[in-house]
Amino acid sequence: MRFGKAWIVAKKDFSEFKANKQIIATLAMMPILMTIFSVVIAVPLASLAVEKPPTEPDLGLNLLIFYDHVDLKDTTLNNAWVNHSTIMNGIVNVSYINNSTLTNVIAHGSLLDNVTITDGILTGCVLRNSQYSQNSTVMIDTVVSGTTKGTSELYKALLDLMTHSYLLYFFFIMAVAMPTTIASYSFVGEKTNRTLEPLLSTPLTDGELLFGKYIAVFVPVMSLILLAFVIMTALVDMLTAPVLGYLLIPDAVWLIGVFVVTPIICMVGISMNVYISSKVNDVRTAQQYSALIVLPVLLVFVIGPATGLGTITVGFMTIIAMAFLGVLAFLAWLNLRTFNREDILTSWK
Amino acid sequence: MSGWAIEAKGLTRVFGDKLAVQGVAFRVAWGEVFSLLGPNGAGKTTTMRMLCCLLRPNDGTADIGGVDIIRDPLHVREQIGLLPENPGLYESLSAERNLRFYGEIYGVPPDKLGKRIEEILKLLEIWDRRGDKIAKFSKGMRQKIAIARAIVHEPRILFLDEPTASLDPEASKVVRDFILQLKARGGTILLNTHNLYEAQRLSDHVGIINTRLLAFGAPSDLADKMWAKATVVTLKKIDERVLAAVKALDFVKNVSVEDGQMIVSLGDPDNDNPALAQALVKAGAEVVSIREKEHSLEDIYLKLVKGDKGQ
Repeated sequence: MRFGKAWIVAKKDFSEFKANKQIIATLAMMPILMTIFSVVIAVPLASLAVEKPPTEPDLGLNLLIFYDHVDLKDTTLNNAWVNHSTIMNGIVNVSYINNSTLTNVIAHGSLLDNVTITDGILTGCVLRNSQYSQNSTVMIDTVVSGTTKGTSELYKALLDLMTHSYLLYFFFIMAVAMPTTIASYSFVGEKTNRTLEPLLSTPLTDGELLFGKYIAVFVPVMSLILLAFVIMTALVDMLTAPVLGYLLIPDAVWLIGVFVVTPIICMVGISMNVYISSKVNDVRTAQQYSALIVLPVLLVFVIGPATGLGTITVGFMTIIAMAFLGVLAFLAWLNLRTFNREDILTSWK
Repeated sequence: MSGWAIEAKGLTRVFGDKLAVQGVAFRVAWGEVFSLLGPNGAGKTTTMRMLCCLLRPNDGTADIGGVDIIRDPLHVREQIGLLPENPGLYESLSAERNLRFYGEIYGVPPDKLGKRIEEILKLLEIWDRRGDKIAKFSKGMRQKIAIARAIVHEPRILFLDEPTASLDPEASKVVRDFILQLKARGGTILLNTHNLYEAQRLSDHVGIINTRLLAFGAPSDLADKMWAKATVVTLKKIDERVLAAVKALDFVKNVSVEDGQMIVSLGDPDNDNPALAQALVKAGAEVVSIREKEHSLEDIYLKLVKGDKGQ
């Protein structure tokens, strides 16, 4: 295999793609949509990340007794300031409870700051920066305030899309769908334009010609995907980092997904397209068959995790990468084996 | 260069149950233009494709520049240039980019490639259009670019499949003149054509094919093989007395009258024609002209192909 010869074939195809605005537009569409989609997720995610605190009423506390680091049980507290303590089975009136845990407590007219409440009844209180058992704590005329990050269901769903890498699936789908656009032109185009006969009469081996075609599709598709990833990451982090305080993407799953799994899936997509292209005689038929290539990837990445068959972790990504690598090796072998100059020449219609 | 440029050894090719080419064998010397003539579907293109290692023969083989097409097709393809029936150019690329691509594939060094492209395009009078996309070119221009592509790497042997088919007379002439220039430079060319005038004008040898190779040789030799040598005598008046006088000559094999002319079959026209002229004058004939009967390639082709169809 002379890689230089394959690169010459690829360079020629690049020139052809560059000259064809329709191909460029079709290729660029998916990454552009992907980037827009990520921004559409990131904007509400950023806005929902911090909930604005409601106005706290002035409780007019007059604190007379101070408790620090104590365990209070079956106690009634009035005008007390309790710090770093636990209160169990008690009543709290017009007091300030700070950094404490309350269990089975009835509180009235008190400020509860940074507390954890299990089984309680709160009336006319202010609950600030706290956690409480939602199924067993009753709150009447109580204001819940403080910076509680992402408590809404929408926020959780959007965060899932980003951090649990569902958005990454679209990169995989792009990697398998985008080659369809140009791979069909790459091979069937040579057939329909009758350019294959002079090309096959040159001293190119089957392997060099096929590898050249692989590169010709892989390079523009992966370049656009990586460009979309960089732009998407920059935009998402720019929008969310100031409110979250950290970079949302990329994490390890994203990095493995984009830099390892996506290129392998892209090569699988190209292999399938090359196989189809060498068997049919017009671009439209090739594209119709190629559209079906996306389905197996959809099955693995959408139905799989949705049914709990695979959690999107680094391990899951590694397994997927290995599986697709196996598929790729088989398809590359199949393409080399079934690539037949005679068939290609004599099956022209 | 030793041996034959092209040596076909019983090439046979079958497509399904259709026999396309059967036992075709011929030899082409270096620096020679050889034309394969035949009707549509006679196997000309199939033969050329087998020689260019695009199709594998079912039987037989061939040597191109001394290299076997079955054993070492890659080496064969390095030596040849092919102009297929359809130009097959990249429409969205410029003429120069098309040629550069093929030059690079054949491994022409970059510094030489530019000069080579310039030389050929100037020779074909399309240097000014080198930057234009092929899509903007006429049929004749495309054919010129396709020829330029076939020779950009200076192949030892050139295969041209119907190079002037579907071209207008002016473009055909440019292509034919270019082939003559290549021939003058010592190029070895195998030409597939329907055009008998073209074949007669360009070829040193021809092969007439109709699945089988019906005849092979220089056009003049083929005529000699197919017809006895004859002299065409034009007289002011042909009468029985004159005919009898000619028939009486011992070196005359046969006498006939066609289109008001006397056709006299002779063994050796160069020696016998003076005696024939004397006999005619002696018999009182008024001789307008005496010339050797010639057979065109068209005569040869039609006789062979019609004869083959009749079998």
